[in-house]
Amino acid sequence: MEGVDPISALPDEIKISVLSQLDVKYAIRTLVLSHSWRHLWTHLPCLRLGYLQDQLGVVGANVSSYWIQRVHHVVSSLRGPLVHFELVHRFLSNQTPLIQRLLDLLLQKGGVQTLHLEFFYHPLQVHLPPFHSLKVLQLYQCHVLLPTGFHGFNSLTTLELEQVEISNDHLHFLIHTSNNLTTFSGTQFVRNQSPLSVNFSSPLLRYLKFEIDHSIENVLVISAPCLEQVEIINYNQDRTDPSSKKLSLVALGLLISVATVSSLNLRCNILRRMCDAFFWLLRSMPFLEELNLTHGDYEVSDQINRVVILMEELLGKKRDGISCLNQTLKSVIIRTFLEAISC
Amino acid sequence: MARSSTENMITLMSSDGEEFMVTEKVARECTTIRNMLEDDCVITNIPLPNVTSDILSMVIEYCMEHVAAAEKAAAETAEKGSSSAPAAAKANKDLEEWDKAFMNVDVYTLCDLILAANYLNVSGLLDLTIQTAANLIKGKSPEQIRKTFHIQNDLSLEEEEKIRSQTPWAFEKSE
Repeated sequence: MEGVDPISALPDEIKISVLSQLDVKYAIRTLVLSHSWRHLWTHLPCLRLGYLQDQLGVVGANVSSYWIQRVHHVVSSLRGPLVHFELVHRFLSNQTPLIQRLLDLLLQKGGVQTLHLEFFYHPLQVHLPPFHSLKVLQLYQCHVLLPTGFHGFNSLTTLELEQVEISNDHLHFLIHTSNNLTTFSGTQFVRNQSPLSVNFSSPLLRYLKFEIDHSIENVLVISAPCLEQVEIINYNQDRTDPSSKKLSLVALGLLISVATVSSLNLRCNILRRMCDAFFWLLRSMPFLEELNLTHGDYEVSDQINRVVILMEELLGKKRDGISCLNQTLKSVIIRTFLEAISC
Repeated sequence: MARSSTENMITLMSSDGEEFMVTEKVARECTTIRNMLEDDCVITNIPLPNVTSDILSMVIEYCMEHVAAAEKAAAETAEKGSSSAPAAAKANKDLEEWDKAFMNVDVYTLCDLILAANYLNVSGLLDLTIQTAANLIKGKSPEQIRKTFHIQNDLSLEEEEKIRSQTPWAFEKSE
């Protein structure tokens, strides 16, 4: 078989899978290998574009308009459907209109199922086009606006928002029109107006993550019969702040209606005054298998030692009462930033 | 391996007529075969007309290694009640090393393995081989890629120049 070209003979869909593993620059390079490779790259189903990897031959702060133009060139060359689109960039502060044109171009290509936009330092305003087949939406550092006359992303299963500015109405609308939502993560919302108040009636929701900070007024799980994993973060350092107590109550209120949870992950500074509430919380989760607690205090070491002792007591109590508390519990890991205690 | 003698054995027959006896568990790593077994549970002899004996023996070797690793991890979990994270991480790393060594093959074998993994639907092996092929392309100039895979360039010089000039940046050398 020597002399016969083994890779060109592979079926096109396999060659496209190979190209999908490459940075787009290297995938494009293959167009001059031979006639049969000429248009192969234009069938790429996913594009992951980040400023760090030199995927488009442009790196640096002062070339963002070049960069985004190349992204345009690449996207318009693709035949579609483009299933997965990921854009990560730091220096696009003045490129809002170009990003908007790019999103409209993606809408024309059709078939977008995953949209991941990440803008560091310079949050951009993004009008989301009505991507009908969108399943995964991940937005970091942008100001999100929904299209007018929008009926919702009805296929959406995953919504992850970090350092995002969005109105309470729009967030509410996004969550409540997405009946297939299985994963929701909301952290560090940017608030210029009043804090967010969110509630969930999500029949398929399985994973819920929230950072409880000043941007959130309330989180309520009205109904989530499939919820399995909950992660709550609260690193409020200011104990004198009356809101920190309120936040711990929000964190608990979140879980009242949740009996199906099998994995609970809490990263917070509120454990110390939550002992009773914590036991009550455990009792309300009869199917809990996995419990991770991370204590986020950076205070002086004797304080941390006190927390560790408290946690050990907590664990001891739990060991004594384990049968009445939780028969299903298989793993408990409690961490401070210094050490982990497993059980 | 006393336990394996009680397991169902399946005979896989390669395109050149060689027979391979494997446990049902190993055979089930191939989704294509698993589906056949689920449709017809008494089947014990499966002809694979698209796979040669040398490639089939490699696919079986891969499946056996991965089944053994999964069994070992399960046994450790059962013994200690829970798996210890460092031990699991080491086992994963060992398996990765094994995969890496397993991928030390020429491009003809690699492409045949891709086809076999695709046909037999062994997702782990398909991912591994496709990633290996991608690594052989990554960072190389078109000339180097052609040389690696013995690709005949059927473009004229003018055609190639014209194509390159449309996306000149894709051909610049990286840092």
